Amino acid sequence: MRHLLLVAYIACLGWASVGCSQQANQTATHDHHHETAPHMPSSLGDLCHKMRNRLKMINKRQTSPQLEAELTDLVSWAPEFAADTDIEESLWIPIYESSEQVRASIEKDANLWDQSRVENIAQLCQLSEDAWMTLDADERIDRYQPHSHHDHDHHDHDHTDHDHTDHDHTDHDHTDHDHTDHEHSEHDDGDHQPRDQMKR
Amino acid sequence: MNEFFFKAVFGGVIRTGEAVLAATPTLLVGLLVAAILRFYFDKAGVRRIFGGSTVRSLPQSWAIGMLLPVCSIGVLPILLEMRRAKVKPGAMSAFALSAPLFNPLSLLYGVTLSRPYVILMFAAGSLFLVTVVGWVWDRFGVDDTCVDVPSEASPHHHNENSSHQHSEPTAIIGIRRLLAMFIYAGRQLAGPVGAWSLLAVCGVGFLAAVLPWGSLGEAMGRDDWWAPARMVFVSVPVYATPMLAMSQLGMMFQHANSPGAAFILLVLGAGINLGTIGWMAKQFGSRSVFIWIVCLIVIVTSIAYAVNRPLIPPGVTPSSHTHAFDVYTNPIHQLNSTSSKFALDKLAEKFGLVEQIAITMLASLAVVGFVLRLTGIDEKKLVPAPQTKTSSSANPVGPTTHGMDRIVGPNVVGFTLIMGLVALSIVMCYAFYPSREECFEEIRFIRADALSAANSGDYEHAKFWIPRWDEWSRRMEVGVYLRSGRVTPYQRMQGFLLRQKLDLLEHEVEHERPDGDAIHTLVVELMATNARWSSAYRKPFSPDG
Repeated sequence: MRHLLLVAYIACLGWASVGCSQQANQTATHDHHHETAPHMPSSLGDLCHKMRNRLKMINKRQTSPQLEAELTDLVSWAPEFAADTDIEESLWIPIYESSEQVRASIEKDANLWDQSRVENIAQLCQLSEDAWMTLDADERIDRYQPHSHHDHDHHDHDHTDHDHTDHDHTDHDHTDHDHTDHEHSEHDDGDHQPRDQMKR
Repeated sequence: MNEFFFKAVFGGVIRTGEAVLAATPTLLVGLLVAAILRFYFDKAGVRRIFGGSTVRSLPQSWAIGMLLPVCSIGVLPILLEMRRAKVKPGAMSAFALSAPLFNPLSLLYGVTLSRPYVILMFAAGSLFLVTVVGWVWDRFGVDDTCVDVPSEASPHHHNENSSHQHSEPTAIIGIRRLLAMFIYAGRQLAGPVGAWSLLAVCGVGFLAAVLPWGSLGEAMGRDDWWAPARMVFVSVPVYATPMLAMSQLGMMFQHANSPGAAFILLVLGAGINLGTIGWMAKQFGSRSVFIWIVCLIVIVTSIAYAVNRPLIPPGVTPSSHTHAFDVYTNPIHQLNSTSSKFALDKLAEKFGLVEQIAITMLASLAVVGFVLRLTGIDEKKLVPAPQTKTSSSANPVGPTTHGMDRIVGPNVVGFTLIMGLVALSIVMCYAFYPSREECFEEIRFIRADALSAANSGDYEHAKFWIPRWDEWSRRMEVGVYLRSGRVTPYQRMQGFLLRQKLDLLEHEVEHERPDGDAIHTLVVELMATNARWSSAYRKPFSPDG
């Protein structure tokens, strides 16, 4: 019985290690890539823009579970994106508190997208936009996004937001074109510059 | 085939050596606690410490376990003493599982996780688990009346039969007692404790021999349904110190790996090892320990799958891989790494000051222990000759007092020593997590080394310093929390961003063909983030201005 159990365990460990080893070669050469969500913003300004667009869709009753999930992510990311800029801590705290409040409300009831929640998100958006605008133009820069090492041929880090439902753009430069973003806001393009081109 | 076998054995030996280095400090603490239990508490006293036969025994055992700075190897000598004192098996199980999971140092480390409440939930879940497993084992698993208590190396075994329920005389006092503790610790290390500890570290070697280099990097993904199940098989032979397990938890949450797998790693990886299982099987029988381990694995896995989705941190994009588990896989990537220099370099990375002191003490103790065993000398030689029949019955061994010497009850001395250990743990917390200024000073040097190495293309040097920068940033966070009682959300967020970018830089320099532009960009990013992080601690925002 004891030997049987030992053999069974070694077999299971073998299964686990074989399962792992299938990925070993890839990991061994670090030939992996860092996944980023399609709706991942490139900067705090971009995050506000994406939030605004999704809020508009909800206000027009053109919502969907995916859109709500993306908006939830954007709300959660707001403090992180804001903290990764040179905004004052005093401006960051309300953003954090507002994000936590909305996040807690979504955790409590993920399906209730009523006017109160939309207003709270709009307020978070406003706080973030106000904080973003306190930065000088040369401080409104894109965050570093990890890039795929399958893509060593082109070194530009694609700070873009291009969903698969998107148009047939082949040029992935720093534009913003996901399915909710047909109306370009003031934050688009000229409002922020990629970190790669940043001069310090 | 030969090449594969050679890599497996060589890698296994290196990992075993690393585990030995990691285990030495807490094994020393375990031996000290076991010696205190043996020479300052009688059997009834030891049973009282662990709650006796009352309902308190399980929570009391895990509470004591959480106070002691021991790992799953450090608990082995204490378990031997608990067994000798006939502590209930359920209480032993609760102690054995909880002591390595959390200690003050590792719990404080949890403060640096992005959502510290997760650690509190893990702690609560673990304590619920050890209580249930202990109760089930007491109730169904062990027929303790049929199991003989081994009397090996007992200084009092000649009168054990007559003292099952009552206190046995602790015959040795004063300097002799200290000497007896030293002899006992040496003999235990050169005997059963050493043997079971070796079995425990061999588990890590076995795992490294079986798992190729980096093979666990993508095995614990958040969306991988099999991740917790896979972790069960990996974590049983794993030996992890509480700090290692906690830092791996941190990395798992940073990379948004499977929270269920993280829970299993904590409970099974840090809580048990092959030595614990082997010793329990010898003491309580294979059937009984089979029930214990199956019960443990079933409950742990159930909890893991239950928390796997709810505990996914919101807004964190899962990383496709992690280096958190590289320490359990073979360290050898290419066959030309199988040189003695490579092995020594790997071991040197783990050979810090604490390990140097601990290994010196442990090696000396082991040599003394071997000599004592070979010459047949044990602590019984230090028991004074029995008094004549005219001695007072209240003082059966009749030690005489000299001058200001007073005989203090052994339980009082033992309790004082245990409290001293707890106090030492608190002092260690402050020493391990230094003040803000001290951390800044340390990080200044580390940062200079890491960034200049990354910029100049000396990536091996950068790979050495980046994890240390990460570690010191966490130590500073805990140090500030210890001294001021709080870490602001902004400080926590800046720490998160700093470590996120350090992690990205580490990944960049680890590529076979590192991208110099990306590394340069990250270095600039890191400098900016570091400036914000430092400022968050130096000039925290105050609403009063």
